[in-house]
Amino acid sequence: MIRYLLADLVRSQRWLPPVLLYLCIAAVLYGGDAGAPRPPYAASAMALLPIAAWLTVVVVNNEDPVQRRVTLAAVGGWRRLLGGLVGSALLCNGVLVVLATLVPPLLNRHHYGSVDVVLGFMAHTISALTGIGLGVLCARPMIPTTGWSLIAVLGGTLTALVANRVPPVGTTAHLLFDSDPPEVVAAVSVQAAIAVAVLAAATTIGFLVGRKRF
Amino acid sequence: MGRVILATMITVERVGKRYGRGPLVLRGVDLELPRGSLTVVLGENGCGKSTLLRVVAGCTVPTSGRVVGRPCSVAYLPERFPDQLRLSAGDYLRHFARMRGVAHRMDLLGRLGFVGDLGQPMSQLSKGNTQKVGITQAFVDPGGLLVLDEPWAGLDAAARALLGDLLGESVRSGATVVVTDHTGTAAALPGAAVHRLAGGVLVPDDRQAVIEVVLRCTPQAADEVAKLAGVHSVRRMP
Repeated sequence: MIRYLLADLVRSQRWLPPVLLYLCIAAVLYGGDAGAPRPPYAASAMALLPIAAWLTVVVVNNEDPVQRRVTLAAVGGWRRLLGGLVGSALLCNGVLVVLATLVPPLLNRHHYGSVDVVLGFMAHTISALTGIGLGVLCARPMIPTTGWSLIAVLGGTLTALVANRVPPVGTTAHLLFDSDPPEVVAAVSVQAAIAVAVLAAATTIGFLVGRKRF
Repeated sequence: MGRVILATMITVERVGKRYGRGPLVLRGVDLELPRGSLTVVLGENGCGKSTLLRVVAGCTVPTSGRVVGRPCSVAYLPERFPDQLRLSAGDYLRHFARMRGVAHRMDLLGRLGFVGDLGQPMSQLSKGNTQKVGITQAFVDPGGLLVLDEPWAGLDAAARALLGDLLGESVRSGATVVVTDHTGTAAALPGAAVHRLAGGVLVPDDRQAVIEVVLRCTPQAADEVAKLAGVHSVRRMP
């Protein structure tokens, strides 16, 4: 099912705008002297939140609504289809997470310790998981039209980022911005657990509310 | 995904459906669909036939009631098959066969008289050819549940005749088929159980039980007869 969903997604080219936008943001961040490893990781992880949510909306809304019914019948209902959609979104965002973690050490002339790379990977994963959760809540059948979906994604992102230190994304970013807090890996791991819980809760809400809307 | 052993009967139990706060489209529909049966649902436009079929196919959750014994994978053909699909017909059929865990049946396309390039995006096909891809997608699983909404719409004569044969083959190999049809073709197929949906309720439409009576009476009496319960139509001789 994921192969079908991704094949249809690749053909639609709707994944291109969010991915390009993210690459532009990363280029700006690492264009000059980005400085010590952790702060730019924190900034690019924060930028990944709305991108991951938008990419998830694209993955979920990609099928034609009538075709969605054919697929729902073929795969055996909304529970399985939602699982496939979240799986597809994880794969797409996983590519961005890996790129955002592994490319900076190659470009930035500062030294990256292994703890820095692990923290960078965790911070981006936390943003991706939270973003996918946000995206599931902002896509069809929860929000039927693209315009409102985009506004909901932006609203959700602003709430999560502008309000200070909202877990998991805001808290993680602060942990990376601070010069050298103690037990930083343990603290980020707690945020990762929160991100997994956020995705699980969003998917459950998406299933329970969404199943009645087809 | 392996083959799923089907229950002997799929049962629609007191299914009701309303969209949002709108009126009830279905109000307590009961229907038994044994294996190897062909069920035809008739009714006027907008009476809820498509909604009932979507509930049977499992792509719409009813507001009340339930459907018992439905297999995991259902072949569903919507009333208007989507015509803006980006995948090619070949890829589409391969992906759907894989999701159902069965072999694809590209050979059916040829039998249906499909004209077009299997490698081109489906949005470039004509309506009739798109419908043929939709039908091929639905007939992959002999012995499963097939839910077809107006499958004869937009087909040429040769494909229409073949569709009747395909339905017969499926029913004989144990498939459960539910179909709506305005053309009257489905109801004429052998062994078809015909139902009529009106006012959100499903009633058997048993043509064999209709008898014709010739009455010699005044026009006023004919009007009175037409108003009686159970009278289908009154035809006046010149």
